[in-house]
Amino acid sequence: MHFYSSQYIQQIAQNTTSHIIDGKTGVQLNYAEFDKTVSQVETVFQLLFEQQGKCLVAIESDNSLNCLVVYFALLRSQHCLLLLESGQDKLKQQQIIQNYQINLLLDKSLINSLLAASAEAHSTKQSLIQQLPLKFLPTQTIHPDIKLLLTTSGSTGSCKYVKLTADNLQANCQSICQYLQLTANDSVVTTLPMFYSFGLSVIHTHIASGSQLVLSNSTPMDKNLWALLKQYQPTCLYGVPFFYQMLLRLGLKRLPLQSLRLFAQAGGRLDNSLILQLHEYIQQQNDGSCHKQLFIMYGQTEATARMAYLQPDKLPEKVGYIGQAIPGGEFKLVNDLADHADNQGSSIQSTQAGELYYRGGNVSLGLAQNRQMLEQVEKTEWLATGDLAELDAEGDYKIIGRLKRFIKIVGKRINLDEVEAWLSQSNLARNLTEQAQILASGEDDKLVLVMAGKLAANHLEQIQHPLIQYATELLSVHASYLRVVHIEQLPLTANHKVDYNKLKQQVLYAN
Amino acid sequence: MTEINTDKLAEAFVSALAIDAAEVNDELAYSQHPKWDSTAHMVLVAEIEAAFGIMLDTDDIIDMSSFAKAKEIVAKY
Repeated sequence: MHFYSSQYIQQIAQNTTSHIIDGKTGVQLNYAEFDKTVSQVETVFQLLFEQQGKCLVAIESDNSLNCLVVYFALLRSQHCLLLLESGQDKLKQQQIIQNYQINLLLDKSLINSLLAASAEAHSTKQSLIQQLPLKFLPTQTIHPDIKLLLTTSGSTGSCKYVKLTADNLQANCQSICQYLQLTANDSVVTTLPMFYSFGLSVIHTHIASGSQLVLSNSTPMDKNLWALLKQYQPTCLYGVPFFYQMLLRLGLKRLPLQSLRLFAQAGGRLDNSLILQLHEYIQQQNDGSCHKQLFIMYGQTEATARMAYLQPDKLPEKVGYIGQAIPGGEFKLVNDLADHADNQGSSIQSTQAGELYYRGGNVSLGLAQNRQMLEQVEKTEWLATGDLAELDAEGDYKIIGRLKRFIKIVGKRINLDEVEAWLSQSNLARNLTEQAQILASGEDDKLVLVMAGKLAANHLEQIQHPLIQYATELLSVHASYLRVVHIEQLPLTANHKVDYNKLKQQVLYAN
Repeated sequence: MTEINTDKLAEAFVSALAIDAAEVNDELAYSQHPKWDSTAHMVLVAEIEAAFGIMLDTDDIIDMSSFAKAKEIVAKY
């Protein structure tokens, strides 16, 4: 029985007095009312999609009650869902709509009309349906197992979406509920958007456990978030590294965090020094009556969100570790011999390093870039994470590097190869001499745009500003995370390819 | 209230939010201007602290939701 099914939610409703609350409007539904509201919206979709095959529906999602109801109604349907970021650049959105031939796009106003009409008579529903034209008909086949498409990269302009099944969502949800020991007594105010796999998993798990769920789009820099924390006294708080940076900057001791029993962090590596500061704060708060815990977690959208967590009592000794695989999951290290003649991976037994592989019920059906790629699925047993890890004698893993060329800026995953491709197609690159090119390098929170080769006099000064401006707009990141560096000679490998490792060392420490 | 150096404050906004000097006026507000999001806000706080040699309080960081408000807050220190 899936956590979103009517049967399951009705069962939860018997065992909880909690509510699902819209933090903005204050509207709240208990679990029985929530189920009823979702069912009403389901009937509108049934009328709308009558005689259609499996369709692709996109939601411009925000953390609101209406949006959540529509999302659940669609999860219960036979159709496939794609979550878009609300407030996203319209050009990027248009590109996604075209690439994926999205049959129905639900924006905020349509979502609100749907909710309003769902409680009305049949004729009202019929007249609403006239306003919801399905596009790209007849629809191209979508594989029956694909339930949900989630972005891999925040809003970096990439059209890559992860193909997830209902069972992926269920496995991920159950596993997290189990190791965080979530119950109907828990309570959460959302601090992550629902189009992001981590944010979505918070919503899923708290509904599956019958918790109080307060939906909000506020950040720590908004007064409103702190007002909601004071009002609803949540027990759980979730954030990406940048979220905790903001909390530490604001000063933990002065924030209304008293009701919390659990702080959880995922979405990229949090600096060891910040983990230790958080840990120390929690230790100071803990006494006989209060027991707060810090969960450092690890995952990817390709595994629906979560793959590992570090047992809270292993801090501070194991700071920097990701810990062990979540319940139902398993890790292995593979020594990648791709550069050698035999091209065969071999598993490493003990305390050595290798690429981290994961298997479990939450491993997705692969990536899509367009509608055609929704016809097929790739069932991979072992997911290659692209991260290099080592294993200690107690079975805990630590990430020591990355194989794939991507970095994270404020938690947003940015593929350096993609950045390079966009830059090389831009007008800025067209004005370069033949001997010069633009490359992308760097590490988390430090993107370095590398001008390589011979440049005309003053060219670096001229191009620096427009280049940063172009890249910040393209990637929607703040300019303080970007730098332009010029090098005359690109470091090359033995087979004359760009040596990206050397390049990174060279440009990261350049002035 | 002490007089503060408004030009210095405006410079901090221009550099932190990566906007034109012409865009800095009393109506400039957090989450209204597309460039002034939570990331830019963190950078802005750091810029203001460095420019004026002060450390802002939690409440002031959260309250600093417009350029007009920032002038009031900085003047308190």
